[in-house]
Amino acid sequence: MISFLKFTLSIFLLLYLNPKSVKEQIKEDKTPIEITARFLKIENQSKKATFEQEVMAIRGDMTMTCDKLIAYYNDIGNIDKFECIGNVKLMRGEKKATSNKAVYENDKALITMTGNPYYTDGENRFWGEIVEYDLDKDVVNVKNIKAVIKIKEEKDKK
Amino acid sequence: MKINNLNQSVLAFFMLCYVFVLLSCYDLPTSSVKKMDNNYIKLFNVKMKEIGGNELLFKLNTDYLNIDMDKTEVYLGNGLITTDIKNKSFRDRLEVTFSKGKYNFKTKNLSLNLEEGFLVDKNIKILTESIEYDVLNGFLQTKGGVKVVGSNFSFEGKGFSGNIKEGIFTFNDGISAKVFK
Repeated sequence: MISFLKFTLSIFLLLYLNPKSVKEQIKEDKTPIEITARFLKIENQSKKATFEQEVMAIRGDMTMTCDKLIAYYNDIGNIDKFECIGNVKLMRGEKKATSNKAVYENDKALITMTGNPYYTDGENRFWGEIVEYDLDKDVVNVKNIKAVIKIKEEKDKK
Repeated sequence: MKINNLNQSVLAFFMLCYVFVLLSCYDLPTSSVKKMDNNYIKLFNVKMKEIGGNELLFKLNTDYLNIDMDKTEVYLGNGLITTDIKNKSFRDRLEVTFSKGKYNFKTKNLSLNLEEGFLVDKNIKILTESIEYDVLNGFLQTKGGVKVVGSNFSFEGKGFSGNIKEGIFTFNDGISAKVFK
């Protein structure tokens, strides 16, 4: 009887005191990236797949578009990295970013944007050498910032 | 009377030996042969090798094979085709299980109806209902939709074609993909 109560209590704690429920965690971990395009070329020797023409990648509420997307897969058939090349645009709510190139690491859910990257969170604008976006943590890091414009301050001056 | 019976027995014995020797002269690994008409022969439980230009193009195991002598085509029942893919940079084996098919000896073209799809790599599988395969040049084409499945991804679309020997495949009429972590 006591061990049954302990077991029930532990299940209760696991399900309801965890910041995210188990169902939400499972859903988040298994959210796939969905990619659409007009054209795809698979090169099995090079272990890469190239999407072109109207390329769009969606993960949850994040959308990314670019001219070309190259997915790299390894010897066990796992795609572990994407490269987006040309007119890269990323949108997630108020967060928007653009660049010439972006690399997405699948295991870390990390996007690294290079080639004149620009980022705005709706209130401020940033230009830098590298913009890193952690999709799971929803955290943006702009490295080697070249310019910052705070939109609110501009409105105050006017 | 007894002498006649003995002669008949001896004759029957030698006839059996003759038939046995005759059958063993043909390298036909089939369990039975049936002639349908003058231009049509049906073979059961067939194992076949197709060789072109000193190269083994494919090996075939099939439940039955209808040979149409006029058109130099064969019609296939359930079976398995295997072919080695030799390339400058890699070597692999292609195995395709089919429910029925057709092969033309002149054009070296295979048409197959598939049940499960086939592996182009140990981790990459192509799922489709039918394929047209040029065994000499390695060119592959499908009519309907195709799904390419890896360990953590899938690509699905139409307008699929490619070259098995070069390991290059394309979708040119719209594609949607899913990639899991």
